[in-house]
Amino acid sequence: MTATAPPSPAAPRPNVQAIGTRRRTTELGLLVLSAITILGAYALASLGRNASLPADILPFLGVILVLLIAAHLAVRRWARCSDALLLPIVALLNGLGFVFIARLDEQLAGLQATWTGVGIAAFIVTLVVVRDVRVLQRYRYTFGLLGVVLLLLPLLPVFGQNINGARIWVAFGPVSFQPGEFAKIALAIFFAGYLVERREILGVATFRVGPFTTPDPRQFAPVLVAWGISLLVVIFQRDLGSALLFFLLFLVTLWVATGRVVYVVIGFLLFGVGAFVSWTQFSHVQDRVSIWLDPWADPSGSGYQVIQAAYALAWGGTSGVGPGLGIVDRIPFDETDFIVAIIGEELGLLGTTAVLVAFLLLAGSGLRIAKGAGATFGTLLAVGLTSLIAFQAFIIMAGVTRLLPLTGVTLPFVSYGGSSLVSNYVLIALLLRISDQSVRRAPDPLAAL
Amino acid sequence: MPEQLLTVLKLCLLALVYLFFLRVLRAVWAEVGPLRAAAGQPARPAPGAAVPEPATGGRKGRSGRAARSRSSRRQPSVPSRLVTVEPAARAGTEAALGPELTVGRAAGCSLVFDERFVSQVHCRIFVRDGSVFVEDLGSTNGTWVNGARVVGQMPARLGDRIQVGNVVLEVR
Repeated sequence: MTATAPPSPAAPRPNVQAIGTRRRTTELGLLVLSAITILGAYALASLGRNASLPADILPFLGVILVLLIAAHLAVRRWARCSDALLLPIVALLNGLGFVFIARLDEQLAGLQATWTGVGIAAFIVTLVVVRDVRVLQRYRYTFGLLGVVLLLLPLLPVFGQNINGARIWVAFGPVSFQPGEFAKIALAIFFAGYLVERREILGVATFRVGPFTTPDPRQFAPVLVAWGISLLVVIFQRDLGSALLFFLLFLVTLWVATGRVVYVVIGFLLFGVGAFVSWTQFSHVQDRVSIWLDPWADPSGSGYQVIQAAYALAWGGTSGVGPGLGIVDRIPFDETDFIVAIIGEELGLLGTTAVLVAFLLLAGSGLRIAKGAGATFGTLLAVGLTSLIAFQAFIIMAGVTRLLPLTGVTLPFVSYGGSSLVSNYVLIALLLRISDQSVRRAPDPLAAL
Repeated sequence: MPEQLLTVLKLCLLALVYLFFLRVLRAVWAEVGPLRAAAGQPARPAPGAAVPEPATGGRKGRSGRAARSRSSRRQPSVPSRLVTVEPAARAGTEAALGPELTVGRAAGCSLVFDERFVSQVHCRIFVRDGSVFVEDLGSTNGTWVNGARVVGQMPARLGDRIQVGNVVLEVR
């Protein structure tokens, strides 16, 4: 009997081809629309500021088109069946972020453009190098170690840099970067790769502690060690936003791997204890909390940033004062942590809602990729990577709007920041790879969409 | 530059951004919406057919009753056996269909396949009122009947192929 079973990865089946073509056509259409939007925003910001069209609008258009077409062609060539929405949404976020950075500080805009180019190059390289996500699973411990080493790098005496009270920078000659931005991807790979092996064991309670039965704690050891080290490191580097991010990444991956809500409950209890202890122990945590609770206690000092952000958002109203018409240099760090306040001032509630909707759609696409990936490592990795982007956006936007104490992380793709841009483009490339692979490998490709 | 014009342009820009979101949602809808789902169900032959069709061609000379037909043509004989098609190492081995069979990697299953993509207790195949049903038991990689993923309990007819991870069983 000849074996002609459904999974025949040798020749792509006809409907796989059709899905790929349709998805890439959709992607191209959406990319054109996002390019037009970015160009319109750029022109309008210049009109508002200088009452004239920007002199470099044609080169600007050229650069956008070259970058987007390069990314699109790379996806067409190396991940043809992947999700069509990630790249256009990312392009819109990155482009709008660039417009506001250019409007605040032209020198930074040049750097941001360079970093966007590097980011897209990293995106393409990731698509070319990582042909099969399961290869990443094989190197899970290497990635775990890499993640921890990257986090430790800024603590080194020579390379480490202390900037704005947080020791999260590393300088090699003229180039400085935040290794933590790359550590998060490495740790996501490690968590997914480790937990996918142990999911069955972790889902079964065998270990008795008094009246409770829990999974054997020894099974957790490597993950807990990696997680504990990363938390300690970022706490000593005073990078609270990253600490929260790693914590949530771990919790979400564990929850999805085992399907047990009890871990989430325990995690939040632990988080409560940890937050309380660090509040009593560390003065910089106390500062953050008191600024959050009452920024008006010191309006021209520690509370200045948060208060100015609130004024900017209020001044923006429903549809904003208009791009280029807001007050420049109102908020310190407006092009990194507080970019959403600038968007709120110039495009109003509708503009900030648009940013939220974009992240919502990004997270939705990521989770859809996770759901479609039949192979469990792909699922866990997609969930981990998606939650990294979604939670990072949540943490900083919640900080700016005073929903949570402010912790400085970048708004992915929107804020100024080279490390953040490049690492997030790598992250998106990995999501596209998972998506492409799950469509190609599924017995019924339509079911994997 | 008059202020009103700038305001109008600003609103146009915002409209453009939300138009983009609408297009994104429409693209998602085209892939997961009810229209597609409805078209996908009876189209079980269509997407699935690309897979089993060459197999039917290969088995043409063997036996007419194995021809893949849906409820339109009722076969006189009733399903009684499960024949292994894949993996190649176990191809051709048969198992009698009982009131209930469990398929999986665990030693306690009625049909044990120690394969990479098969879960410990992957699915059960049972006969009720003379019809064969397949139910996935929360497996990692899913169970598929003729290329359609098994959700809940799904009937399998004579000649249908049940895919359990990388194992393929044919109902005879």
